[in-house]
Amino acid sequence: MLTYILRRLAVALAVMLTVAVVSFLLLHLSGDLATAIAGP
Amino acid sequence: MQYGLDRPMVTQFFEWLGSALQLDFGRSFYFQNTVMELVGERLPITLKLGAMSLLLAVAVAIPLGVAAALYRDTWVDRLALLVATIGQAMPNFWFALALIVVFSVGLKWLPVAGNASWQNFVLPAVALGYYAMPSLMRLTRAGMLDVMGSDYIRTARAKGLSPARVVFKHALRNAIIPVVALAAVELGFMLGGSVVIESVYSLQGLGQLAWDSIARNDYPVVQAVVLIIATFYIALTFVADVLNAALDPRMRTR
Amino acid sequence: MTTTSLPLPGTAALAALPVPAWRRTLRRAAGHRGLLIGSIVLGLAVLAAVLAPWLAPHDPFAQDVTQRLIPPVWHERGTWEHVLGTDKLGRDYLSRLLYGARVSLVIGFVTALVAGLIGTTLGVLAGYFGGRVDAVVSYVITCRLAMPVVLVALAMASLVGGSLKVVIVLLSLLLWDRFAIVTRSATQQLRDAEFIAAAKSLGASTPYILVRELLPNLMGALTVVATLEMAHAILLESTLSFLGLGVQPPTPSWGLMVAEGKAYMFFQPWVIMIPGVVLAVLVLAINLVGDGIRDVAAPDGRH
Repeated sequence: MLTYILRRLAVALAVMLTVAVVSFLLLHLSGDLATAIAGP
Repeated sequence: MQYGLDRPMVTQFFEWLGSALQLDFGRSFYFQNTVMELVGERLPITLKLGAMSLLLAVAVAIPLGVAAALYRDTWVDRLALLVATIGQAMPNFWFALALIVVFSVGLKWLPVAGNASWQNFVLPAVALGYYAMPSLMRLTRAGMLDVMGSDYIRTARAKGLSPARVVFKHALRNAIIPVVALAAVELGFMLGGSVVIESVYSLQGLGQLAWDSIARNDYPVVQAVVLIIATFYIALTFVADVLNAALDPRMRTR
Repeated sequence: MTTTSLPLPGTAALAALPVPAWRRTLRRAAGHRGLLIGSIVLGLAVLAAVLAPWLAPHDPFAQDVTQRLIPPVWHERGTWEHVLGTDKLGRDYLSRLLYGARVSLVIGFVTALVAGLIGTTLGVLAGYFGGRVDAVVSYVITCRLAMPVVLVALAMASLVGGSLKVVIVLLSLLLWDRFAIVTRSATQQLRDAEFIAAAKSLGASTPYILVRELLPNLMGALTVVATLEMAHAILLESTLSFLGLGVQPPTPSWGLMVAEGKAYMFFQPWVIMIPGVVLAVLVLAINLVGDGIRDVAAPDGRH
């Protein structure tokens, strides 16, 4: 039982990391961030 | 460049991650506050909404599911399944609006917008929770049917315990765990999908914040909100998984 | 249910002939009320969408400010000129509804198709090969499941700009998870079945086995998931359009019609009621079809 919990926990953390990476990438790849902040 | 944008993306990511782990998500581009402050203001509202929605959904789903299982194939069962099927077909934004038209304007029972008192949360909670109700009800029904037909229940009956007692004490207790697990997952969905409801009812919750920030290109906020909601969702599904797994070995002794 | 056999020779033997499996299934399907109703409604919707140019009494884009916000025919101020009334720009509601059906159905079908392709491929690969392939695919599935669909769709749509094509691509990339999960578990169950082993012993190549032997056996479960995800896609598109990030005006989309009517919903409730009801009915029909197929294919499930 404990091994199951630990395994799921590891997956959960890995998923969190992936979500962080993916969301970071998506937002920063949508064009140059500096121009987005500076405006047209 | 105070935003550190001139450094390679990988570095940027790790810097952001490092700060994020300390709950420092930087500053909003739009507001003067830090992201954490904004989130701190909005999160309780969304959590309150989510909790109420889940409570309502469960409060309707479990009795309905039990009734449907007890009176299987009668009009009670069919009615419950009909309600479930219709509930899953209605778009949530439309249902939310329809609720406003009927209850706030037509019947003048509840307020339209704002988040002053608990009454402001009733309609939004219904609008957010109704979609989860059908699946919870179906699971309760299936679980009850499963357990009611099991040997455990039959031996309990043979021992002479009254049928009603048998049902509610033993059957429900056994059937409830998967339902709790599903409820946890549904809560995760609600937290993620609260955008629409919060927007329609003008609730200043996390979803609304995400929505506005997306529109304003307020990236630090969007990143933080997505991460936070995903975290909640992952935690909830984790709990659900563990619950279901805990159920498994015990079921084998049935 | 046996009929008393006639004493004529041969009839007993004829009566004992097994009815082919597909015909039995068809008969069961015809008797399933939900499936019947759902299919009829869905069929009507498809028909309405396809024949929209001929059925619509007016041009759905034609604005006429003198005809704003006319109520439907059953209202005292309604006219037969505009059977379901008009919207804030004077556009005929019935026509917009018919053309809106096209949007919903196209998005539903295409998204279900593409997401189905993605999900099934992943699921079959994971289920058949197991081991590391399975570990990777399962991880990808879990990651996708961890993402709040609505939020991600909103964020992406706002980055790229909303449009019909964007919605289809976006939803297809987000809704493949159930396809993958179902096909994966089904493939795992069938992996060790006799007919697979037989094909292998005959020297069939893996792609052949996967496509010609395995896939047909997954079709039942696949169609059920496909209907589910089609309904899901339609609801999501309407939500996106309602928030302004889906199909853009002036294209008629039922979700968009609700958004456009929101300002008038208190005194002219039909502007939001009609598109909403139609949406619910379509989704209901699709769900009924999906449930029906599932019941018919595995009748020992519920009753």
